[in-house]
Amino acid sequence: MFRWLSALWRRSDLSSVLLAALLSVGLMVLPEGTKLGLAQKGVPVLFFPFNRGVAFLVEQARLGRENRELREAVARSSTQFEQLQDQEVENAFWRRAYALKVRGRFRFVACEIIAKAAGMAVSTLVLNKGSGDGIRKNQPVIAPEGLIGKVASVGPSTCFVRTILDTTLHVGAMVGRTRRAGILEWDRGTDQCLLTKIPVTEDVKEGDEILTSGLGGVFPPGVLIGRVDKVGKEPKGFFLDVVVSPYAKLGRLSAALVIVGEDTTAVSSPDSLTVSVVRIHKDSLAVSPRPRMYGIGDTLAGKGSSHPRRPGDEDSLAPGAGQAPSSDKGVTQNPEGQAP
Amino acid sequence: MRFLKLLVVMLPCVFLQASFFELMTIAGVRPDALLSVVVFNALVESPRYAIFTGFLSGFLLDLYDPQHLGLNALGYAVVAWLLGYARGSVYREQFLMTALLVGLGGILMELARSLFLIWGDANAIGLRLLRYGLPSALYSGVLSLLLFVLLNRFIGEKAKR
Repeated sequence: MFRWLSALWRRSDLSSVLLAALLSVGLMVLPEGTKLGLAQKGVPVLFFPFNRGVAFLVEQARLGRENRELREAVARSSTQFEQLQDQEVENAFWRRAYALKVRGRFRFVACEIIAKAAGMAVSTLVLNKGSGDGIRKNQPVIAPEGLIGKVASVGPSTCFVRTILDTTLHVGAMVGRTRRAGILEWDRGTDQCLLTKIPVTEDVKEGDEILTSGLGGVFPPGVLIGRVDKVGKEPKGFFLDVVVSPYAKLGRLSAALVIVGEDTTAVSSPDSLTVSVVRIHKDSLAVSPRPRMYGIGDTLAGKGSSHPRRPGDEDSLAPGAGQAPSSDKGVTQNPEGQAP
Repeated sequence: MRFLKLLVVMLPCVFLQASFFELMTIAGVRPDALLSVVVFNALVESPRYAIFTGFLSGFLLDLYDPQHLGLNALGYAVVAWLLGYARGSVYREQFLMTALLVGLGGILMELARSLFLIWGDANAIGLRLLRYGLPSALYSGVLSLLLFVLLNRFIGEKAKR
């Protein structure tokens, strides 16, 4: 027996495998707690760098995934935020339009702007309502902030609007503080809205509000147009060149209101009016006298008389539109004519 | 130095075997990277060293499954011992033969595990061998073709003597 064991031991491979088997069996019969403790102590020590490496890779992958998800979430949120901002602007517009409708004295057709003329000055707009919605040619178009222009042509379901930034549109306007009337027109040379035909002796200051005078019968009186930006003199020195900044930012507008008639059921309460367009309008009506027009009748009479008017157009305008002017100057010209 | 090289190869293999190769299972069949190390050592090293290598590999792998501590140690040691008899007949450059040896080692390992885990049920052992042993042996053999290239470059210098 001893000899056999000795021979076995001399064979290195046999002795080694027997030793390995003995050790293995010894490991197998260890108590569970000892086995577990051995593993719990051995694995973190022996495989520390690998565990850390894998943990790092897993963390990197998780961070990458999280980063991607967050980027997507931020992009989604940004889009939603922009949409909400757009909706807020739109809501504000319609709220003001609603207030205008409830508290004002006009009947409106609310329209979406579906196209705009390209370029620095938006001279033309296309609205998504037409003759089928009661829109007629020459009806005034406003935004809650102020005047936009007038309907130039009407189709069955769309209409074209010539804005105050069109050189061919001349609007009878006045300085709100002094009620001095002039003509508002777009000067292509300087790309500015100018109130002209105001004599140099008149008191016009920066910040004065400019509103429609009602002369000419197309635009109702008292609709806000803008604010005086700068006051200068004409080269000849007889009249002022009043630069006006329109309130209605045509480049940003997405909707417009076409005044299709007068709302006789509206309750007027000056204190409750929040819309500047209506406030000014009521103020101007409350005072009642028509704005004084400086003596430019000779210059504009021809233009005014040549302006095409239709019987239907009269109905669609503000109350003062069809009335004869009661100004002490007796001006009868129509400033809202086509430019020659 | 030789032992350090062995550890440098063995530890990543054990770690990969216990973690990453779980992701490489095909129909529940997992390759065995440690077998390649054991067979490589069995072919190029002395029997005693090969058995030691097998035992150490198995022991390290058992640390991840402490319930069966010693099982893989015994299995790999026996495989190293048995396949060590091919030393001198099969050379490490014969990739196909070494892959076959790795496959044979895989079957032996599965047999050892089956005998230990389901002792007495010959049918179950046979089914287990068919279901897992043979596919795993094939998978390990294929994988060993790649691993042997790496092993030849890293710890094959001594074997040229």
